[in-house]
Amino acid sequence: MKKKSTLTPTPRPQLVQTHEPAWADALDRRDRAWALDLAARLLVLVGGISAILFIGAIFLFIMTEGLDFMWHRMELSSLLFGSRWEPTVDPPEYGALPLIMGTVWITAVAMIIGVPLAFAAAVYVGEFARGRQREWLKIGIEILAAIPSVVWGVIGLYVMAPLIKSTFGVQIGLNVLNAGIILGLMAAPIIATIAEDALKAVPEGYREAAESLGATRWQVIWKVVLPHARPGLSAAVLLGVGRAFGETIAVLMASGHRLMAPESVFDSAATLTATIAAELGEAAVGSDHYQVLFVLGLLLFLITFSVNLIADRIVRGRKAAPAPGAADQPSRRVLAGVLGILLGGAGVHRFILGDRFGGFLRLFLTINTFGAAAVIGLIEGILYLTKSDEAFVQTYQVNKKSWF
Amino acid sequence: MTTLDTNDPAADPEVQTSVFAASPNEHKAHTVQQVFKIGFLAVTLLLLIPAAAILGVLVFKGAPGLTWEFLTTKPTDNGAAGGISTALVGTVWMTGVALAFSLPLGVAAAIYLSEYARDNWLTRTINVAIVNLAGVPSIVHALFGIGAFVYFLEFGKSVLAAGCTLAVMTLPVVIVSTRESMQAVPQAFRDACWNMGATRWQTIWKVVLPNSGSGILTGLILVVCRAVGETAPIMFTGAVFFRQFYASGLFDKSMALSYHLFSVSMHVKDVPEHVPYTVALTLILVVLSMNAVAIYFRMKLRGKKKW
Repeated sequence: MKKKSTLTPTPRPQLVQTHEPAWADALDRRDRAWALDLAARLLVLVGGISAILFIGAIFLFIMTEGLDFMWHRMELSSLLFGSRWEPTVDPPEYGALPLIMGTVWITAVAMIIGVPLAFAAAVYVGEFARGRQREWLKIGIEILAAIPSVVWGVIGLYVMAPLIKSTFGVQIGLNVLNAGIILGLMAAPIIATIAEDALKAVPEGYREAAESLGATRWQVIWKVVLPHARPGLSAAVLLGVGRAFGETIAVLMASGHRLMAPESVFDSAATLTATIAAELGEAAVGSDHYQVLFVLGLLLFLITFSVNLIADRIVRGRKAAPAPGAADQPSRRVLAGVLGILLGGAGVHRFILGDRFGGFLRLFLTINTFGAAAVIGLIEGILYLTKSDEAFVQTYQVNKKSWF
Repeated sequence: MTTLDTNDPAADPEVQTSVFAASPNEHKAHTVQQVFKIGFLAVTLLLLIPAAAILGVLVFKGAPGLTWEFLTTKPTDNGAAGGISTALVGTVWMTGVALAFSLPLGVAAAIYLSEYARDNWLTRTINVAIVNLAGVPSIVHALFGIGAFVYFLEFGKSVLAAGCTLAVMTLPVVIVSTRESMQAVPQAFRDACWNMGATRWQTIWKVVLPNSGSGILTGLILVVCRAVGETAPIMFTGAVFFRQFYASGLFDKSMALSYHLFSVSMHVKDVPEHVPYTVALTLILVVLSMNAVAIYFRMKLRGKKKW
């Protein structure tokens, strides 16, 4: 009966509709198409949530591998500020300061080299270049980005090292400068792409307005486009820092991997990432050495997580124009969020929000649960950072919501 | 702002010849603009010269060793002699596993984000997670692979574990590229489809997905490029230093091209000088040819699009 009804012509319209038309029940019939739709909806939802699951799983698995050592035998201060990394001597020393210093030096050199190059490329490709020339430059930048990190390592090892030795007359070619140049060139295409997006996001009307006043192309860029794109550009730099900071194999090959803090750019150095890669194969599974490498991994994860969150927020936050009168007070969202993730156990993010009681309460909880309650701060930090600025001010600074 | 001021013609009789003649200030501004334009082009090229130089060095030093025999014979003497066939096959295995997991999952996530998701906290959290997943250092992915796939799921050190680690790492690449091309499909296409009485899924399957093939293809190629080139995530999860056998199945270990390159240039003794260059050239040829295909498809599809 139902099948037939879809074939019959639509009944002539009546002035007063006394009952639903014959085809109405076809609209919400639960047939095969409906079931398929429901199944597909659930399936793609699983796909969507998988990204969240994986981020959570990464955090969880890395933490559990290093948990025993973190709980019982590790002092955070001696791990972060100890100046000797000697995991294989007896008694072993796990002071990551040389590795942290190596990471900071190499990342800094990489940014000094990479950021100007990338910004110049972004401005030229985005604002000056036209047509075919622009396409070719973009392809060139893509090729640079596609070179695998191990190939960069080979270049550092066999090409850059002799070059640095002969140019600067130094003994060792595998040093901070070598790794910095390599990382700078690796990070530049990423910074350039994001920076170009930021320039592209500046409304065309702004450029046209300035040009109609007689400004040259360069004046438009310098006085209108760049100031307007500043948040996007700083996000680009942050993501570049994240990239340089997390690079592993190229740095391991080009830095010389010396486990001491460098004192100049011509010293060899070791980074956090390279140390994990170099030593994980030798450490016995489950030993202190093995576990401390996972703790370093956790540290890396938390730092890159915060850097990426801030960069993402800067990009996204500026897209929506602030509602008029919404933010009477400056938003402390980013500060509180990051501190919540890093130092949430001490309640620092609550102190920042002016909630002294809440801060002490979290500190107290953390001490009494031997650190487990620090997870609360972590979750709160993430929640803060996923909110918009206005919503954050409203929820936490005006209404003073005290948990989560 | 002084450069924007125009001179008052009455005060300066010399420029009164034509109302439209450029003032000295305008001349100066034009020169400044040219200087900056050329300067920025020079710096851009400074960024591209290394890319060209690297390719040049690799071709110059590596091409003589790159023979069919090199690609198809097994390595001997810890990789210092012989060919790279076992490493090549291992890379194909791992890349295949990575694709098999990350492509379906990534496309599903992209469909959800582009077609179903509303702007709520879940969507925002998913987006934040994707950005962060893309930013996690590769060595941290390796640690995750060890904890989750090698020990917790008991895959052992195997092609499967290495491939899964690569799949997690490349998931954001698939999601972002597919989502972008799905969002480029005009809303009118969907509206037209819904008006015909199609369900959401029928619309996606018959209209949205076929029209975003380029994005899925680009995602696939980018996954292959990343998976072939990455070393850190596989060196503890499934790649071995030296092995003369092909991988016999998903739970077997294997050599891999990128890790082989790392070990011949760092650890193996008495490697002939050209071997690292030749392996690096092989690796980069795979990656660049894949990229070239992606660029070709992108240009072809851009020319074909009717909307």
